[in-house]
Amino acid sequence: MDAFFHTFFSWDEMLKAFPVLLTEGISNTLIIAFFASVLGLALGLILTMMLLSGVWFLKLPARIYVDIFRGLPGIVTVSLVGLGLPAAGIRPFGTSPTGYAILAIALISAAYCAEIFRSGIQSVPEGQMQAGRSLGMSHLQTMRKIVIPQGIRNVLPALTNQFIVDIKESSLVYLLGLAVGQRELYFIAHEQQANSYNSSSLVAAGICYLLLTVPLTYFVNWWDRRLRTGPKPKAPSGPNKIPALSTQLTGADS
Amino acid sequence: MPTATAEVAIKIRDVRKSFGHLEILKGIDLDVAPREVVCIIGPSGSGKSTLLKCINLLQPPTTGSIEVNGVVLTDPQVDLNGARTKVGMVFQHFNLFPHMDVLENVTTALTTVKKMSRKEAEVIGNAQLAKLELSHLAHKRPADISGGQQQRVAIARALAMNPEVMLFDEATSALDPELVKGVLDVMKDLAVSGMTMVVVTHEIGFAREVADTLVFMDDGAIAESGPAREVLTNPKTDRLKEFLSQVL
Repeated sequence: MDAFFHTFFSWDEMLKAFPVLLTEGISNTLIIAFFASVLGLALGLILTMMLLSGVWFLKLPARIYVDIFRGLPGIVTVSLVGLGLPAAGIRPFGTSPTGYAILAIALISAAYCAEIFRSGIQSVPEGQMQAGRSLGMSHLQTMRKIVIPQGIRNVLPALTNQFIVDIKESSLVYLLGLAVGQRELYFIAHEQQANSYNSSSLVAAGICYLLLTVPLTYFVNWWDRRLRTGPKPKAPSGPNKIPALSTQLTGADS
Repeated sequence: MPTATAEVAIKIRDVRKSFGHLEILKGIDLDVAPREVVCIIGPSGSGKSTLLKCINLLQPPTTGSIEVNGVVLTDPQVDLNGARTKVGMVFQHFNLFPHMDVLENVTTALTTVKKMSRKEAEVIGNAQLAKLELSHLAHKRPADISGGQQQRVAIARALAMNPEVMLFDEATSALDPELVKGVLDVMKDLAVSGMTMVVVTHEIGFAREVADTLVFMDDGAIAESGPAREVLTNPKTDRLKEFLSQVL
């Protein structure tokens, strides 16, 4: 039993890990997750526009993109982008792994964001488009002014949820070998564990992840509930049903 | 027959509309004169709403032609968005924009389509709201006002574009009974002011009082039409007699 506690909850190991985790790890994890999410959102919105365009030569590449990056394990994408690109001589970020890490996580995030945006936009009742068009607005104007703002509002919780996923996915960049100063939570913990054969540093990193993700998860759930049933009803009437977060995430393909 | 286009505000010729193998409209011909109010009645599924949405091409006809004040909307060369600014439409479920307040609902097309400045648009918007006695709601969200108020805002939104023709698609069907009259009163005033109107409705009383022409649709075709009072008092076809006996 002592061995168990020593392996996972060694006080000395934790005291060694936490200062580095809190000063270097958390900020790097958040930097990777934040920039990957922003890039993923932008790329995801473009992909959604392509998916909903109704034009096959826009729709098909977007569909293929989404299928590939949702279908691949994150670790494969991170390896291909972070190890593969520089090896092939494509080095937009020089030798700094952080740039490749952000790109890789963003590429994955974009595929999920595209499906989230799509479900949001499709949850806006057809009557909104009809009302815009009947006033003489073009399809594009109606999308920009009427449909997309409502669609995004409907999926804000799901997008926040994607940010949580990106925080967790950011751990995969340990593969790319980070220098001191660039290290994110998992890399720091993993390094220490490899030296000491003691897992307490990983537990410490786990605690840091939970500090970020658990409050956000509860916030998302609260927000999602409030948007659908909240103090301010969303729709004047008519079938403006926002699908529950769980169905948006699992049923996005149907 | 005189062919001057000014004689006809809306000219519908042999309009057919199919969804897959299902033919919803089976060849509709209808003329609406300027300042005329046409009410379309008929059982649900008879194609009334589809016909109305064909007029501004929200549902493009499969074949046939639609002409509004001399502009052939079914001509692929025509500037459809420009033409639609002259054809106002009011929907059964209001379709107000829930993320905008009432004034923004009324002004958004003025700024995006007519390229007005925000200030100009708000002058027109506020005047239109005042006309329909809605000024006090200008900064409320659609979700915070009653259904009757929402529908009147929707009418104000359409009128702000200064249309030549107004289309009403069962504008009172989604309202609680006590809210129907307020909306019908607005429509009545509009008719009296000389607006050309095509009104799909279940309100036979309104049709009798306001409509110049009554059109009875059944199974995708016009089964009977004529001066409203005459048609309602003396229906000729059995189908209209049966329909009236059920709704009156």
